[in-house]
Amino acid sequence: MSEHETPEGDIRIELGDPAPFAGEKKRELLVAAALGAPFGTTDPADLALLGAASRKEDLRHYEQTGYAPLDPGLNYSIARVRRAGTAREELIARGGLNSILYLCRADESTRYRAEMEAGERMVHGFRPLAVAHGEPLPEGGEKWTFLGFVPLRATREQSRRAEEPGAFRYVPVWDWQLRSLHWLAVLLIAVLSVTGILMGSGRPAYAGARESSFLFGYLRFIHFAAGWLLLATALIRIAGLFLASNRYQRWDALFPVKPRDLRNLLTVGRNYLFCRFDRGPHYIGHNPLQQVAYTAIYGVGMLALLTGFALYALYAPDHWLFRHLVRLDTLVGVQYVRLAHLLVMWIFLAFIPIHVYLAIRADTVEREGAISSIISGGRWCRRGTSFEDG
Amino acid sequence: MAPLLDDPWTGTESFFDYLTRRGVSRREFLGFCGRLAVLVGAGLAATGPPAAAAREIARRLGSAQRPNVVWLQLQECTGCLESALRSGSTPVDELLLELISLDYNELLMTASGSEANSLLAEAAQKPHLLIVNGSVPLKSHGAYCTIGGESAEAVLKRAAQNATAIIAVGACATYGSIQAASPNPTGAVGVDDVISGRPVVNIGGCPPIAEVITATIGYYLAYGHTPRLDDEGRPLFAYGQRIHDKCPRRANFDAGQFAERFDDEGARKGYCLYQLGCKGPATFAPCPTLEWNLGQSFPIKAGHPCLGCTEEQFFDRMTPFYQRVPDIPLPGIGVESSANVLGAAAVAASTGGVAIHAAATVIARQRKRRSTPESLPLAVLGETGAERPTEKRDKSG
Amino acid sequence: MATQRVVIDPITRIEGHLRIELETSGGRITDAWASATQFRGIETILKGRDPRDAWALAQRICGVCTGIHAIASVRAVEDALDYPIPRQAELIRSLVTAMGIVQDHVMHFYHLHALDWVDVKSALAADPQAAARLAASVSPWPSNSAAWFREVQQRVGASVSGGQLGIFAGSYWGHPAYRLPPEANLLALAHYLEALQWQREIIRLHTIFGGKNPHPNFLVGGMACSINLDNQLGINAVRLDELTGLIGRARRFVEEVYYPDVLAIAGFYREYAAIGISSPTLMAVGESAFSCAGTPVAGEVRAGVLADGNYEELRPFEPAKIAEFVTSSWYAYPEGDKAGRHPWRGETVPRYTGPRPPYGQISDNVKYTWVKAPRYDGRAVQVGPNARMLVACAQGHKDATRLVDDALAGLGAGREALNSTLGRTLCRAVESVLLCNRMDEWFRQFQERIHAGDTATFNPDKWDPATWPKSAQGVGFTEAARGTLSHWVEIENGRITRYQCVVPSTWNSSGRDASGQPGPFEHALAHRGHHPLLEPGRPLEVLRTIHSFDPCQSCAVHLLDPAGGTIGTVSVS
Repeated sequence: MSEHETPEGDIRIELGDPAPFAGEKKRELLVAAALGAPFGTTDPADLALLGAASRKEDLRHYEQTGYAPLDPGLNYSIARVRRAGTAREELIARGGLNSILYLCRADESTRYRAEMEAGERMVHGFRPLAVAHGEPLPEGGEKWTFLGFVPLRATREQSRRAEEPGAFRYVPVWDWQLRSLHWLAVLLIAVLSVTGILMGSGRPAYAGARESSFLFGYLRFIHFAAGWLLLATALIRIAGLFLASNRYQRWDALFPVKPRDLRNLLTVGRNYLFCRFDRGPHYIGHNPLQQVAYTAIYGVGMLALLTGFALYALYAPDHWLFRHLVRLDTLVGVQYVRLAHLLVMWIFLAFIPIHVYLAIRADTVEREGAISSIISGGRWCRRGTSFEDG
Repeated sequence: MAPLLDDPWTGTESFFDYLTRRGVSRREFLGFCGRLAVLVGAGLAATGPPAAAAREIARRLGSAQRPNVVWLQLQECTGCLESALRSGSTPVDELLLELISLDYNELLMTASGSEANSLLAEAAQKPHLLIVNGSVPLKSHGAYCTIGGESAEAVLKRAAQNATAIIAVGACATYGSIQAASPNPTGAVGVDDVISGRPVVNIGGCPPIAEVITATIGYYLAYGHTPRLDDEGRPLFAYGQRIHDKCPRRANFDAGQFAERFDDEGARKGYCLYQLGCKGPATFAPCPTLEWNLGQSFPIKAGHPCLGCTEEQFFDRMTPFYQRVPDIPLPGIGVESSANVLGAAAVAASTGGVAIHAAATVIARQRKRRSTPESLPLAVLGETGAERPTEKRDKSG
Repeated sequence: MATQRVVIDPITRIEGHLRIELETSGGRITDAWASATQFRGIETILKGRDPRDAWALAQRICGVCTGIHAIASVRAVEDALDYPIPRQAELIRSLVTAMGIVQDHVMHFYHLHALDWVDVKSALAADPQAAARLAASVSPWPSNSAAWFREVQQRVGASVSGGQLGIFAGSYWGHPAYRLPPEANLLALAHYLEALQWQREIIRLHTIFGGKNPHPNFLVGGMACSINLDNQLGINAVRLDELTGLIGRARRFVEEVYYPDVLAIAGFYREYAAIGISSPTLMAVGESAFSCAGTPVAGEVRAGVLADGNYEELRPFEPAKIAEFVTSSWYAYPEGDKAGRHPWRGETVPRYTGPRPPYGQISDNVKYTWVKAPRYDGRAVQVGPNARMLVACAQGHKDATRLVDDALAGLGAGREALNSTLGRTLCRAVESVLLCNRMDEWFRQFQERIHAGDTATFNPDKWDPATWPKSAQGVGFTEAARGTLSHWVEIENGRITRYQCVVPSTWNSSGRDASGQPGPFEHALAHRGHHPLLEPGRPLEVLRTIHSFDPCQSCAVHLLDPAGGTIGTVSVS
C-alpha cells in the first residue's frame, strides 16, 4: 500500500452487496472473502472485509496455515485455512473476476452470469473481488468452486462528521451577561431600525396623524431611548472586553491576527465560498472569518452610535459633552452624518440575514453549535476534534 | 459748516449727554437701548428683566466712545450689507448717524477713488471696529478681487492691524460661501483664515438676519466686548439653537404631518417641510424667533424649506436642497442612488446571497451523497499506484 | 494741453468692485477704461449640481438685484425641462420682481446716486421752512414738514459735527458741479433717510412670498408659498391685506417722493441730458419684471433692439446674434481673442494676465477687466431702464409713452435725451411709476384668480428627475432692474453640465471688443471727448455718469463653463 502514499485515515473502503454463486449465502461469501486475507494484514480492504465478516461469524474459529500472495501474472492470492478443531484445510482464492473464473474453470453460463452481474453492479468505482473455494484433492491439485464476488470500493473520502454519530461533550462558551447583551442589542437594533425607517420615509405610517397625536414625537422618543440603551450595552460590552474572565469574550479575541488565524481565515473563507462542510479548522469560539465579521459589526455599531449621537447632539450644541459631537456635524455636514447613520442601519439589516444563516448553518450542517451557544451559552463539541482555540 | 463743527463730541462727556445736548431725548435713547436689550436678551439674561437690561445698556452706551467703524466689502454680492440696511432694531440711519462713525464702506460712502483709499488708510491707523463682508480669494496672488489696485487680502490685513474687534458678517466672510463652494475656483477663504491669532466674530448666514448684525454691533458698542460665541465664533444669542427647535411647524413634525410635495394638501395646511428637504433640523439660526424683515416671516413659514445658509459650506453640505439626505453617486456609471434604494438592494442581495448559498449547500450535500468519488487502487485486486490512470476513474458519475 | 491719467478705484456706491481709468485733458475726458476687479466663478461651481438647486447658487451672484438671478435661473431650467408653471406662480414672481426693482431704483437713486447731485453741507445750511415750501410745491407727501426737515438737519449735523464725518467723509462738498439750492439739498437728504425706512418696509412683499430678503426663495415649477385663505401659515387673508398695504405704500412713495424728487433735481442738471451719451444701440426683452422661459415672445412690451441711434425703428430681438468677446478680459478662447462666442458655445477659462497686485495702472494692457464683452450683432449695447423705455415707446406702449413724454417735456428734451446720464436716471423713476401700476394690476389679477378658486402655485408634473429628458438645454430671459438678463443652462442626466449668465452689467460695463469698440461705460465717458471732468482729484462728474448706469459688478463678472465643446464660433469682424 505504501506506494499509494495515502494516509491511512483518509482511505475509506466500502463493501457492496456480495453476489454469491454456487448456492452460497452472502454471509458465507463474505466470510470466505475475509478468510482469504493474509494473517496480520494492514490492507484497508482486508480490514474492511474482516470487520464486516466478524460481525457475521466469529473468525477466531479459523486459522490460517498458509498464504500465497497475489501473483501479478495470475492475479489472485490463495490462503490456506483450517477450521479450529478440524484437520481439514481449505483454500480460499481471491482476485480479479476473470482470473478466479478461469481458476475455477467456470462453465459458460456461470461466467456469463458473473460478468453480467458484475457489469450491472460494478458502477461508481466499485470493483468485484472474486472469491473461490478450493478443496485439495487427494490425487493432488485442487477443486475450485466459484463462490461469487464482493463489490469493493476504495476512496480518499473523509468521514462525514455531520452524518455520523459521535461522542460529544458540552462546553460552555458565552456567559449569560454576553448573551443578554447580544439579545438586548438585537431588540434595540430592531426598534431603532423600525423607528428610524418610519421617521425617515415611513410616510404611510402618518396617514391620519393629527396635530395633537405626537406620533412622530413618540417615534423619536423611542428611537432616542433605544439609542441610549444601545449606548449602555455598548459600554458594558466594552467593559466586558477587559473584565471578562472568559477568554472568548476578551478584547484580544476580537482581533484574530496571528499568522495561523490569518491562514485559517482564508481556509474558512474557501470553505464557505465552495460550500465545503465537515472540514477544519474547528473553533470553540468564533472562527477567524466570523470574528472579523463580528468585530467589523461592532465597529459599525460604534459608527451608528457616533453618528446617531452627533445628530442627537444638535439639540444642545452648547452641552459640555455634545459640543464635541457637534464638531462632527460641522466637519462633514449634518446631511452626510445623517446619510452615514442611514447607511449604517442598512449595513446592519444586510448583515442580519447572513449572520443568522451562518449561525443556523453552523448548528445544522456543520454541527458547530453557534445558535445554541448564544441561547444556552454552551455548545456540544465532538470528542476527538482538535480545536484551534480549545 | 462752522456753527456745527464748533461743538464736536470729543469723548469728554458721555455719548448720552452729548446726544441729549444735540436734541436726542432720553426717551428715544432708552427706547433704542430697549430694542437692543430684547435682541441680545440671551446675553443679558443674568442682569435681570429687559427694562433693567435696557438701562444697563443705556448706562454703558452713555459712557462709551462713539467708535470708528471700517466696513469692508471684499469678494461678495452686497447682500449682507443690504440685509443690514433692513434692520428693524437699529435702523440704519440711527446706526450711521448716531451709533458709529462709518469711516469706510464702499456701498454707502460718498468718496470714491483715491479719496476713498486715503480714508481707509487713515481709519486703519486709528483703533476701530472692523466689519467684513465677503471672502478673500487667495489664488492668483489675489487678482480675483482687488480694491484700489490692492488684493483683498492686503486690504483686509491692513484694516485688521489696529482693529479693536473683527466681525465677519455673512457666509462669505465666515468661510467663503458661494465662492468657496466646490471646486472653489478662486481659492476663497473666510476672514479668520486670513487673520490668525485674533478672535473673529462670525455672523453666519447668506445673508444674516439684519437684526443679528446690528445687535452684535450694538452689543460690542455697549459692552466693549463681543457677545458669547459658539465653537464657530457665532453669537449664542442668535445661533444657540436650531431653527427646528423653534419652528412654527414643529408641532406638525412631532405629529408626523408632512408636506409630501410642494403645494399639496399638507403644504397648504402648513405641515412640516422635512420631507421636502428642510434643513431646519440641522441649522442654527434665529429665523423662527426673530424672523426676517421687521419680523414679517421666514422661509419655512413662507412655505419653502430651509436651505441651511448659516451652516458652513452649505452649498456643498446641504445640497441637494430638496432632499433630506444626499444621493450616493455610484462611481463609473454616473448613476445616483438614494441610500434607501442602495440599502434595500444590499439587504436583498444579502438575503438572496444567503438563499443561494443555502440552496448550494443543500445541493452540494445531495451531490456529495450521490457522487462517486475517485476510486483508489485495490491491492487485493493486484492493483498498484502505477496503474492508477484514467481507466480506473469513475465513468458513470 | 497735457493729458492726465486718472485712476478711480474703488468706484463706491455701486454693487461690487469697479475701477475706472481715464485720460483727461482740459477738463474733458478723452479716453476711458472700465475694469471689473472681482471674479468669483459661480458658473463653474454650478456645474454638476441638481438643476433644481441652481437658483439658490445663481441668486448669490447678486444681493442687490436679489431674486432676479433666481428667477432667470428657474426660468432657464423650466425651459430646458419644458416645465409649465401655474399662472398664479407667474404673477407672484412678477410681483416679487417688480417690488425688487422698485425698491432697487429708489435705493439706487437716494443711497447710491443722490450724493452725486446733492451737497449735504449745503443742506445743513438750508432753511427748513423754505424747504417745506419747496416740497409742498412738488408733492403732497405729508411728512415734508419744516419740523421734520429741521430734525434731519439736526441729526445729520450732530453726526458730522464731531469731526467724525462717517459716510460723508471725503465728500466733494463745495464742488462747483453741485448746483442744487440748499432747500433742494435738504429735501433730498431728508428723503435719503426716509427712503432707508421705506425700503425695509415695502420689501416685506419678498418676505411674504419668498420668506426673506435679501435672497428670497424660489422654486423650479412654481412658488413654494401655498395659497390657503383658511390657514395661519401661507398666503391667507392677513397676507393679502399686508400685500395690499405694501404695494400701496410703495406706490405712494414712488409717486409722491421719488418721482417728484428726480424731476426736481433733473431740472437743475439739464446739461446732463447731453452728457454721458453712450452706445447708440439699446436692447430690451420686454417690460421690466418680465420673465419668460425660452426666447422672449410677445408680452405687454415686445422684445426688440434699437440700433445705431434710430430710436423709432424697433428691430426684432434675435438671441442668436449675441456673441461674447474676451479681447479685453482675463479669459482665453482657444481660437484667440478676435472671435466672439454665442453663450451656447461659450468656452472660457480665466487667465489672469494683469499685473500682480498691488498695481498702479492696468489700462495699458490689452486685457484689463474680468468682464467679458457681449455684443449684439457686433454692436455694443446699452441695456437698462432707458433701453426699456425707448423700446416700449418705439412700439407705442401707451403708459410708457405718456410718462416718458411728460417727464421729457418738463426738461424740454427729446427722446434721444434718454441716452444720457440724466436720461438713465430719469427712466428709473418713470419706470418705477409704471411698475407700481403694473403691480396693482398683477395683484388684482392674483386676487381675482384666488376668488375664482385658482390657488395652485406649483406644478408637480416635472419635479421628479425621472421625468426629465436625458439631455436638455434651456434659457431664461428677464428684465432686471439694470437691464436684460439671461441664464443659459444645459442639463444632462439630471445634472447641470453648462451654466452661463449674460447679465445687464456685463453688457454695460464691458471693455473693448475685437474691433476696439468700447463698452457702454467707456463710451459714455469718452464719447467725442465731451464728458466734463473739472477736478481730476474729485471726479464727481464721472461718478454721476457711472452711477447713472447703476453698475452691478458682482453680476457682471462671470465665467463660462470651460468644459463645453467647441461647436462653432460667431465671428464678428
